[in-house]
Amino acid sequence: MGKSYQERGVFICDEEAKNIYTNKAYQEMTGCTREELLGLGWTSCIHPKDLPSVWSQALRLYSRNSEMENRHEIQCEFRLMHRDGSFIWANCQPVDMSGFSGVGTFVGILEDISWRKEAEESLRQSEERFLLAMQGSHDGLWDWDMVTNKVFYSRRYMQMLGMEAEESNGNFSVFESRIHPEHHNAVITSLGEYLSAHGLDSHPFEVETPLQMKNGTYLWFRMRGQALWDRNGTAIRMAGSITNITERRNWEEEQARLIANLADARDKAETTAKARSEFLAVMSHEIRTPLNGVIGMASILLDTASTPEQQECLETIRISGECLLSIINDILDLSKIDAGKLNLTPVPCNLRNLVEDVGSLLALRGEAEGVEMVVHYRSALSAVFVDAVRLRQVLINLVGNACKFTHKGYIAVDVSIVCSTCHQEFFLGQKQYQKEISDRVFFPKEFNKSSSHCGEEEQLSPIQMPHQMLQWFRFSVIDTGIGIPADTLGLLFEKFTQCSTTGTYGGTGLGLAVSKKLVELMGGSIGVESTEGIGSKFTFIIPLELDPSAEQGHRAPTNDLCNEEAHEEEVHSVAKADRLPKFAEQRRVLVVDHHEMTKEVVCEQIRAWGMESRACNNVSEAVTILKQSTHENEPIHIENFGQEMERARAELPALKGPQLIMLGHVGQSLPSQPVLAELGCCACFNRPTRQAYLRNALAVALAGIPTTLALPHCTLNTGKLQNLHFGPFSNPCLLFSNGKEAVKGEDSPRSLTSASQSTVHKSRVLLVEDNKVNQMVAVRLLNTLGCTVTVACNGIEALSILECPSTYDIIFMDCHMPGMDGFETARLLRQENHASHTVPIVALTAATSEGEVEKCIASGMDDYISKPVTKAILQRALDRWVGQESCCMTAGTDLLP
Amino acid sequence: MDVAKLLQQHVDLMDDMFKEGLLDEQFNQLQQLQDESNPNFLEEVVSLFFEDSQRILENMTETIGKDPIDYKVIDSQVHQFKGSSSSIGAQRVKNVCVTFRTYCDKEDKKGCQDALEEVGEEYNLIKKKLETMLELEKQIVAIGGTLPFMEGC
Repeated sequence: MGKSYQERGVFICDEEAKNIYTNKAYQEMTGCTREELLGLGWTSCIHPKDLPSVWSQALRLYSRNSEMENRHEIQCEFRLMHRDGSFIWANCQPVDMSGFSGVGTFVGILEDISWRKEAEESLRQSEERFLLAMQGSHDGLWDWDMVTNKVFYSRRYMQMLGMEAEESNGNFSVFESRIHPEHHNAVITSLGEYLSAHGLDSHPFEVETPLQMKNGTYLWFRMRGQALWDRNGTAIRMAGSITNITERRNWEEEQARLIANLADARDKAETTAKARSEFLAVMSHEIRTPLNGVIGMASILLDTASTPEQQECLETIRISGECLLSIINDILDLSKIDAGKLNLTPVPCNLRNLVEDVGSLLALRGEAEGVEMVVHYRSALSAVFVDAVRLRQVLINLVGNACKFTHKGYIAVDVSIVCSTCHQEFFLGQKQYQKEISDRVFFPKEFNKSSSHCGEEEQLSPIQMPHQMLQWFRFSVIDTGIGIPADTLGLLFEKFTQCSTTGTYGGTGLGLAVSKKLVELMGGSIGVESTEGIGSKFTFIIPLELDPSAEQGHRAPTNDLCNEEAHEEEVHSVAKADRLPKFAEQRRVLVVDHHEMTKEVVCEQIRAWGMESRACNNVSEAVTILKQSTHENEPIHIENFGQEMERARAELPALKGPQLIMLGHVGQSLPSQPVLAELGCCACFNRPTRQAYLRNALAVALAGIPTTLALPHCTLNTGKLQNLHFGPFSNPCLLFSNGKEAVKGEDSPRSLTSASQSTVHKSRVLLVEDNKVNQMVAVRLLNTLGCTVTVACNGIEALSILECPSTYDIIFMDCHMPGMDGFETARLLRQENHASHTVPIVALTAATSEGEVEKCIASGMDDYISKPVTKAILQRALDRWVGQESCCMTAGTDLLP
Repeated sequence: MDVAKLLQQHVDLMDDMFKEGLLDEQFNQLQQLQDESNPNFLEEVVSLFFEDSQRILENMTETIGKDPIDYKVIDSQVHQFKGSSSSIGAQRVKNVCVTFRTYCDKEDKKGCQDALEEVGEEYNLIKKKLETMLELEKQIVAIGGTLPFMEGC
């Protein structure tokens, strides 16, 4: 249909309907010549498919001939074929000429109407598409003529609502009657609002409502529509669709129901967990209280038991009780961790002190069997943020285990920094255990030459510059105990497994499970290496944030001791600081001790301070060395101890020269000052060696003060040297250590043990408690434990009492008091500028419920004990927080004139 | 009366109090705290407990008598009472206090009133027994006897 024809084609036929004339336009339309068309029938060029309708029309035309006046108006349309196969749509207007003879009987005028046909066709297709779409769509359509109130409902619409055919041309009430009564008003109102808003720009009308089906039930539909308004703003027409949203609504309802169910289930689970947690807290409290009674009473009876058999029985009761108590605590911890209720509270902490505390605390356990305890803190960094309570718990657990399973040799606690890449490979390779022991863990030879603490650490520093505030610390607890069979190593950290030694050693093995969880909670990992019969090594690594506000104690090895001293103790003696550096480098220290590990650690520490250090095992070796060195006119300082010391003094003419520092054995009462002076010692402290003790002792020795004058308070262990008057130095010094055999005669292991149980704390205690009865009981209990007690009735009183710095060793704080409660008081006390902000605070709480304990720790308290307080509970708290130092102080203060 | 008889009475009384659950092991501990240096400790602490309790009970009665009841105030008073009674080992008084606090939590007026009555009864009971006990102990000491829990001190 490419061509279009402006001219009309004309043909004339005779009676036989054969062309007798064709004009040019007709010839062009058909593509035939005039000659070819002559004699052809006029219908010969019509598309065969259109012929039937043309014939029928032509027949009608003839049959009506007689009666119809205006028959010329009859027209027919057909496709006129071109000889090349194409066609045009043509309208043929026949003119009957039968009345005019000679001209032919029939004239036809053809008009090209292809353009019109095309338009019609496209309109038809479009309508068809619309119809198809309407029929195919799931939406029902409606069209509301608001002037006549006629509504057209599509077939689909009717189908959706189950409408009868007669309703198809209904009015608006057909729709309205089906709206659910409960929604009727809302729908009509919102429709009214929409129509009165009359703006084409406005959003289409949309409402969701249930509509009634033919069977009376309701389904949910979304109805959408758009209205047309006339100039006066009157709505005249509105059309739109309805969509069945029943499924969606059901799904939404289901969803909401599920969510509600889930919330319900969650609430139930939370309630259950809370109930469990509370139950455990209550139960553990209920179990602990009578248990403490048992343990406490056993301890009291133990002091008065007359026969060894009775003592043994009571000791068994006490130990069993302690064991049960620790199991209960472990179970409580585990369940707390499992319930996700255990939150870590990192606080500023001196890591070295923490580790040394643990060493000191547990050294006594091994001492009875002659097991040596050494703390080797390699890192120069010690001011960190850590949950001290929990880290201590892990360390005490591991070291405690080591004590339990080690009967000879030593237990070493080794702390160092690892690089961030090393920690990832932490437990990938099981290095040969023996090699570990000899090469790496225990003070390698090259260590002695190196002036730095740790080569590993030194390499790290430059790499780690950007992340320096976070360091990975490695804690290893190495023992020479019975070891663990290889096949059970993997099970070690599981709950309730203890590698079949349970029979011999007791315990549930929960401790390691707790430790593992705690380490993981701290972001670290824990592992173990062990060889049966040789020993075990438990190692864990954790990332710790360094405390930027605190002095890290990183000092060049050439720094003199007394400068450090001044720093740490905040003693600012200009004279001291000026004088001491000059000779610190010249000093030599001879360490006399038969404990291999102690010897190594002490020597290494002394070298780290830039002094020379040698070690020997006993007095005769020392004598030989000293004789040589005096001969060479070299000053030497020796550490050693005790009865042997007298022998040493006697055998050593040269000892007029060196200063002696006595190293007492674990838990030993230190000798009185006159005794110390008689022995020729200028200072003394106990094993296990602590860096601060050693430094203080050396500071005294190096100052060269005559002993009798030098130590008005011969309590080096308290670490307080403020009262020392440093005279001009004269003599070199000597450090001696006691041998185990030296004390065997006077102190049996039994008396050592019981001495530790009934440790007398001459601590100064501040009790903050409002309840008068509680005050009285607690004061009396603390008095029997040897403490001096001051009472404050509430937080405000406590704060005013604590204005003076460090008058108290420990504070016991009730949580609930009128005026200012314990939490607020602790918070205020813990502010850095407070004079007493370092004093340990132990909360007294009536409930061991979860929230309460967390509140205590969050407010800055260090520990909590549950009320009512008993002697045993208080004793444990004192042991833990005032601990050994106060015992040592006891020995010291006793000696005061 | 001879010492042995008095001592027997004392033992029976103590046994009764423990058996009836009036006292718990906390009281044992207090007895242990009495020695030559503090010969009257028990009496002192028990008297203090009486004094304290009397005051708290009066305060509680006043609080409960008010309308509306300030449940926070009554709760903190019960807390006080619970503290001192558990310190002295008067466990039945303590137990009633525990229940009492749940009524305070629930703001249950009737419960609180009943609990106050109950706690008063329990307190009077233990008070009478403890007074008898102290009287016995005084007599024992007066005629030169030694209290059982102080032997060996």
